[in-house]
Amino acid sequence: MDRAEILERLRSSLSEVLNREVPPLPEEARLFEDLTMDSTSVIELLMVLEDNIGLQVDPEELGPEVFNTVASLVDYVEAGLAKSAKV
Amino acid sequence: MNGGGPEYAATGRAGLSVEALSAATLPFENYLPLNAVRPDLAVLDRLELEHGIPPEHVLVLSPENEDAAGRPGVGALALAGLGAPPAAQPLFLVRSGPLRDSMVAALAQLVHESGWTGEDVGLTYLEELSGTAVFDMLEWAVPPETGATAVICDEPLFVDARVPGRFKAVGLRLRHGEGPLRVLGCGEGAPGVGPGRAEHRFSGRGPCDGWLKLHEALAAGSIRDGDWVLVHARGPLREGWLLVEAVDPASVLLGGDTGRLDAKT
Amino acid sequence: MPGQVGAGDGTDSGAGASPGASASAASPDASAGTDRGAGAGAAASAPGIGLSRVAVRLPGRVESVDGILERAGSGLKERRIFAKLHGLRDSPTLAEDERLEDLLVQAGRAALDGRPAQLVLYGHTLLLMEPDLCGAFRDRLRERLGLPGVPFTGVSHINCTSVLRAVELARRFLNRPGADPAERVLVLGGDQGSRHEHARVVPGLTVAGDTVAAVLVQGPGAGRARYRYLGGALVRDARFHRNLRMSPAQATAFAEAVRVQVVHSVRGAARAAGLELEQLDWVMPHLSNRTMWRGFSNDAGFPWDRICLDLVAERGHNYGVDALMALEHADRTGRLSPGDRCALVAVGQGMYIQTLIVEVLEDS
Repeated sequence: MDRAEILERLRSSLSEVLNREVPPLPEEARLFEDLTMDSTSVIELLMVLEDNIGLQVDPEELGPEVFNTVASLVDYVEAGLAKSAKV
Repeated sequence: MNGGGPEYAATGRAGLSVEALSAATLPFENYLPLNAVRPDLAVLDRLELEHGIPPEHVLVLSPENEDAAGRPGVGALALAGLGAPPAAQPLFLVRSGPLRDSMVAALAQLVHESGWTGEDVGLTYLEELSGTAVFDMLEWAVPPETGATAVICDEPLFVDARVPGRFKAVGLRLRHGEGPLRVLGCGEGAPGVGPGRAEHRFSGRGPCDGWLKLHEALAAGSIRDGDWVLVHARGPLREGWLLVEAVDPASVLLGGDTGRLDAKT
Repeated sequence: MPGQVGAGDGTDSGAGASPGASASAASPDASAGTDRGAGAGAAASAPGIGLSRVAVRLPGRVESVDGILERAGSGLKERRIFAKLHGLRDSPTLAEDERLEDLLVQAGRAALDGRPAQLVLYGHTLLLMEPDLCGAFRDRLRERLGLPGVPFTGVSHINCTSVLRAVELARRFLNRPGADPAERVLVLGGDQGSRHEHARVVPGLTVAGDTVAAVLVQGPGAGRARYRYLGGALVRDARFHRNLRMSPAQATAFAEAVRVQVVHSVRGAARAAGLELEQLDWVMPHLSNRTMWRGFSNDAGFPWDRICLDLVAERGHNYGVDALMALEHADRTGRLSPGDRCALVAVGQGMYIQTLIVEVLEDS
């Protein structure tokens, strides 16, 4: 799955969590400030990503920087999927 | 009688005064016989020793949490009876035992609904001593610059089915230094000779009982200037006392449930 | 909005935390409502109040968090969140024949280390029907601690901030007029949530265990301390008093409020200690879950690797003792250096956030 596809899957997952159609996500958008997400919706988003694209979340490796921007979240998903592919 | 006796050199360090006293009572409810609760919730062999109630007469507060939204408890009534303090000050909720609804933060509810702005904290495990020996702690815990409010609640876990009872609470507005009821001393254990000489002795088994009787006596005008008053509590395991001097009993602000103190316990 | 109710500085010159200076009316439900108060702050200078090393006692059994959640009827989604995001795995649990009282005595005696104390404060969260913890419990405990007749009071009704609040009250006791500088206060903490399953699970947030901790808070003349108290702050937002009866919307608002207000509390405590948040070396956290602290690290810009979350998986949340437990762990494993400034943080349902700042002293 390339980065563009991850971005699109992220957008559709976010639409599912927020229960509204979310427009295409600029990578520099900040999750909390710009997308007005909160602690609960961030948690739900990760769960939906696990279900929808096979991401395996490891709490020990999930640092706070993941939730800074769309780009940082995509980086995390990219790395997570790559790790799963190697296993 | 004067208050300068040598036996008070050690115990008379309390520098607090009570400037307002409120009282509140509500009928008992939600008590169950022991056989209606899970057996592991009752320690039968210690009931009589520690609570003074033969097991066959014990009623226990229901372990089922009861949502009392919209119905103020005795603590809230006692606090309301004091009115708002002149400036932000700490609130001490002196209450031992389980909450009637453990799913709600009772003190935070009290703070929220009364609009309390000062800090708040609960003091527990004092049981019968909650209205007397607690002053040992209040003396240093009450800030001199603001005073404080203490709400003492008696909503016991175990009660005696043979004895009619009520949930009780008293509210005390406290300040350091001179005031209408000047605290002379307090202690755990029997009052001893000095406190025993008080003109008025208000005793009871629970932490609020003595204060409720004092409230009644103040309302009736039967405390004279300069009288010593002993507030005393004695339960099966513990005894505590508080000695106050009624410097100006007529100026004690009284609030709360004065009309229904006839419901004796 | 909540307010900073009080901040104590490390100079310990008076009665401690001062109450808020102004108020605004609480608004209904979860929309607003404040307890706005004035913060106080002054640089720490005097030798002041010290704390001993923390004594921790773990119960003899461990249960899986997932097993506890399953028994409590939690759905698969919540169980996944607890494991995957919150990082919670195990919860210390009293064994069948174990009593909380015994653990409190062991921890208390370890903290006392043969020294006397003039006051015992027991910080506890739970206010449940526990026959073992009423009646003669208080008198038995102080007898077994070797402190018969010493004043003993429980500190509670403020949920999991009770233990750190007990430390603040201890400081107030030690600073009262006429106090002997050699005095000490034994602070105990711990609850037995495993005896009441419904009290053990905070939906969406955490599962609590039965670990116990004790620390000696001492005056400047009471001998060598391991930590020095520098400052503290309390934030309260009583809109959330409905606690386990909160609606889903209120619970979401609560989680957000905690996320925002923990930063305020830590910043307020740091300033009371004469510091900025960025000057703190460690956060010893309320160990409810990792999720909460990711938010803190992001919002405050505080280094992730300086929040001591080592114990989240194997011990998780243990009511009011989390921050002391984290401090003990960090110290014992050699992660602390003299001069390190540590923020001890506790969060109580209702809502209360208590933060203390302590400085690590040279090891005696």
